[in-house]
Amino acid sequence: MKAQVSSSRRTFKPSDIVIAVIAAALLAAVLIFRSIAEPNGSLAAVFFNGEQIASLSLGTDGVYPFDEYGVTVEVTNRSVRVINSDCPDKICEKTGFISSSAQTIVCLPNRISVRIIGNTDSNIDVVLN
Amino acid sequence: MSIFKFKTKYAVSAVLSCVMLCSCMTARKPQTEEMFAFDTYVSITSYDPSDNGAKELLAALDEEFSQTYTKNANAINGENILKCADICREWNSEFGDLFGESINFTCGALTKLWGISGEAPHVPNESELSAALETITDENTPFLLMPSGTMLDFGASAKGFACDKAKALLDTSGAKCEIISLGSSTLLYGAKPDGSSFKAAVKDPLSPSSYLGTIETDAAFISTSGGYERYFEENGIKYEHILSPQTGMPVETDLCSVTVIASTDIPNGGIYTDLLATAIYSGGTSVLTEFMEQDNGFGDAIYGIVAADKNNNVYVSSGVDFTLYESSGFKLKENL
Repeated sequence: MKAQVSSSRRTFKPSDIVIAVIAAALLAAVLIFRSIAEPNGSLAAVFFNGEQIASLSLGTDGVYPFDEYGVTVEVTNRSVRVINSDCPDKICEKTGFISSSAQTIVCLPNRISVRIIGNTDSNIDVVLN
Repeated sequence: MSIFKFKTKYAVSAVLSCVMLCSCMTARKPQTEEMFAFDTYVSITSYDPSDNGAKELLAALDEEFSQTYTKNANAINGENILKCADICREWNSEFGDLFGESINFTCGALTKLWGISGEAPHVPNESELSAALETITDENTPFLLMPSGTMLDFGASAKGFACDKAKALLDTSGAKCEIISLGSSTLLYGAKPDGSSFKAAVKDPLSPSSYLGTIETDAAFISTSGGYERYFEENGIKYEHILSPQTGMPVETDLCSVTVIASTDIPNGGIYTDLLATAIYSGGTSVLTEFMEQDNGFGDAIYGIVAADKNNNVYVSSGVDFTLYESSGFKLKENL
């Protein structure tokens, strides 16, 4: 009696396999969707005063003027920099290109910040300034 | 009938585990909020599911400290400013002998005169300088009794003080893991959900978009001081933002970057690391080595140091887990 029960539990029916396959496919679909929605370091986000004003694809090179905010941002070769700012100190321009989510370009006078959004291979939690 | 039930169970549990797996992965992702406060860029990265009010706390502190930009010292009031000043005084009586008067929070008029972080920085003339220097007074004088032209400047302490306040708030709210960065001062709070240590990158002073190296640590206060980012040039000469309260001029130092780290168990560790980073930077390598020897002389070092000098040497105190990036071109000085 005992042996029979345990043997019936161990047997996988074709229908069980179908369900397992469906579950695996569902999981894979979700994971693929997530990685498409947020591929590694795919976006540079531009913030004004802590509020996001733009997100730029790192896959497309281009120059993006934000005249209203006094800065111009350039995306080249999957990295981003501020190429021009009307601020007096130019710290944002001097920062140069960033390509990791741990890094931030900051323009203090214009209250602008630029960050990479998404998982990058960087395991750094914080950059000390 | 029973087969159908089994199937349903399998299907339900498969879908459930799928959902749980996904939500788990979402939960592990920290959320980052940012703001501008204390004349710097602030980011708050939280691994905790609920908001614990750190942003509001920092905004309120910033509001209180911002009165120092416009008001004279004798008109300043505020519980936190008074507390911050008291801790600065304590710090001074503890470390003043070693550092001399390298930091004085009554130097506000001097800071304002140079305007290095402002719209129109300029090199002041002799008479402007001596007038500003005359307003710098004894820190121990109560605000109300300070000379009428004296202004306060907590640039070397307010951000560290804010880290201490944030730490106290997170303690009471039961937060698990937060990274609060106020530019030059950082609070690494709690422990990361995956159990790994925090990794903080020190900027390469010669090339600020790359790193000098990384520090791995448990919960800590970390402050960095350096002249490589905030400066201006006039007639081809670089003027850095850290001013000497003695000469009124930017400090002359053979260091280019100083990072000080302390456990979050150290009382006032935020403000102390902030003040120490500026004081050691201003004092140069001679003060740096003396401090490292003294601090270690008390037994285990309370404050860990990573410093870089202008000859491409890096100094790391024992007990700090620092990895130098070879690509920076800096070389490790033997451990002190």
